[in-house]
Amino acid sequence: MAFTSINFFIFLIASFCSYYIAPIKIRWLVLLIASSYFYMIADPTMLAVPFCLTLVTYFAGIIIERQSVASKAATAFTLAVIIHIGSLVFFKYVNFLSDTFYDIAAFFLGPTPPVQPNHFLLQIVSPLGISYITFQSIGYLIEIKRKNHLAEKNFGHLANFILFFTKIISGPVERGHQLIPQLKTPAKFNEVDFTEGIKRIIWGLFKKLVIADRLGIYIGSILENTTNHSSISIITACVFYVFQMYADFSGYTDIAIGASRLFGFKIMENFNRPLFAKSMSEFWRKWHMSLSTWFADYFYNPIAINRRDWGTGAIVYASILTFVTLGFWHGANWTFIIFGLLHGLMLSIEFITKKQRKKMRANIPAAINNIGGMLFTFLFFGFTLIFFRAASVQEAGNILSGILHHSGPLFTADKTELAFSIIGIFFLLMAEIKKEYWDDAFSLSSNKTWQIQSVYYCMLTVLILLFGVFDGGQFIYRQF
Amino acid sequence: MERTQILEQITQLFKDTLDMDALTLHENSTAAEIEEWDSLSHIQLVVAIEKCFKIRFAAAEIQRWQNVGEMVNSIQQKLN
Repeated sequence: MAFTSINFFIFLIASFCSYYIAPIKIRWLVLLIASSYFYMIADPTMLAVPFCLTLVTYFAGIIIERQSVASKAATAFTLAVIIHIGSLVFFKYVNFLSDTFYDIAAFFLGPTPPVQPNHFLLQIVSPLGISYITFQSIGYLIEIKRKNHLAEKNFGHLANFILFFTKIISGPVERGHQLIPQLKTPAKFNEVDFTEGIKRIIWGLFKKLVIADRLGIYIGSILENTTNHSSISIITACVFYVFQMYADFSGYTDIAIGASRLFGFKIMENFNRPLFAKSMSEFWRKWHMSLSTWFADYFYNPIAINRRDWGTGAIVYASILTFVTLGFWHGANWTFIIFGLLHGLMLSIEFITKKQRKKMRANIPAAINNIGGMLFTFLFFGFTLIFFRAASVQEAGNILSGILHHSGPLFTADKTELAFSIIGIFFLLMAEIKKEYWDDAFSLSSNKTWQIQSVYYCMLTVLILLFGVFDGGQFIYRQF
Repeated sequence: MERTQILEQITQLFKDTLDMDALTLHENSTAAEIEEWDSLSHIQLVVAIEKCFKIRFAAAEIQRWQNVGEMVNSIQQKLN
């Protein structure tokens, strides 16, 4: 059930009404039934998987907390992590590993090695949100193991934290200690939460349906047929793809945050205007923040701390390992590994050259520094997205080759879509610039007069209905 | 060693490591408030503190710190 479908909104309204009609004591049950139904509609054969994984997390959490013998607590923790990572690998990566093994065998033994790739697992669809279930569960258990937080004793609250339908598809990767207390003390219906939630959902739908999906049409017509397009057209499509990716993913997140807010829950923000980042290290503090902070806290930091005697080497090693893993998490494909590797290398280069760059910048006006930094960050991210979007390394190579070798004019056969793309980017940038530099200035979206706000959001709704792309397309991040 | 003395010394270490001459640290200061204090520079800070005070933190201890005050607690425990 896509967040942009009519079915989702019927489901959301039904869940919302049931939630507030139900007595406070059983609201957790209403939420759990709603999340189970949402999951069942998307993936009926796999409903048992998230519940079994949640049960593992539930019992492991209690055992880790209560076990006074440290080694036994560590065993329970390790076992739970193995089950979670094992499930993730089984559902997401077994075919990739089997193909890679086959390729290596073919390289050494000839084109028809005795071992054939076993694709029986292709019959099994990866359960919805398996990555997010894994990340949230492992993060929750680490915090108990570190004695920062207590284990949740009510299975219903824990299950709602892990499986809440607003964030099961593509996050944000929530932290137990932030969401569980909210789940345990459900608020009464609150007008502010309701209106803020609705506003956020409308803005998210606008970003997804009007900006991202319109951009997607123009980008697709070029990047899916690079041999027939000029260098300037391919570069334009790659630049547009940065905006599409941002509008798509942040649009999804806005709907997730807005839908949660309807129930009175404040879940994590995932973006903090990343297009204004002046370096890649700043970019990763502003982009997909719930995942990047998860990786920083539970993956990068333990590695870097344990290797800290290596000095700068520890930071480079941990950065590259973290980003290659983060890239691989996006999917079982070499393109994602290259995407991660490029980010790991750039972060390392930025770290090593930090002091020299600061000295250099001292002689350059701040405005030029800032614009230069933003431009570089934007272009580097756009370059890495070539690998992110391509279905194979060969396809990414074709795009790069097209950029270098194909001369010709900009693709304007579909002038309407090009115009829509440019207007969409303009809207997005105006909203972002306003928020970044003039947040306190006159605002339509948070105007003190409710009538002005209403007119603004009605106008956005009309624009969505007039110019939105309603082809049932999924969000880019759904597949991860 | 007194807490204020420890805080003074680590403030200097923060200034040198993060290259921020105008930095002021409080016991409640967190990484979220200081732009230059990110995951990458955090490791450098830990190493600088260990060298300066000639102490060694356990990995679990470092990962539990929520603010500068908790860093000071760990240093004070090791020194006393």
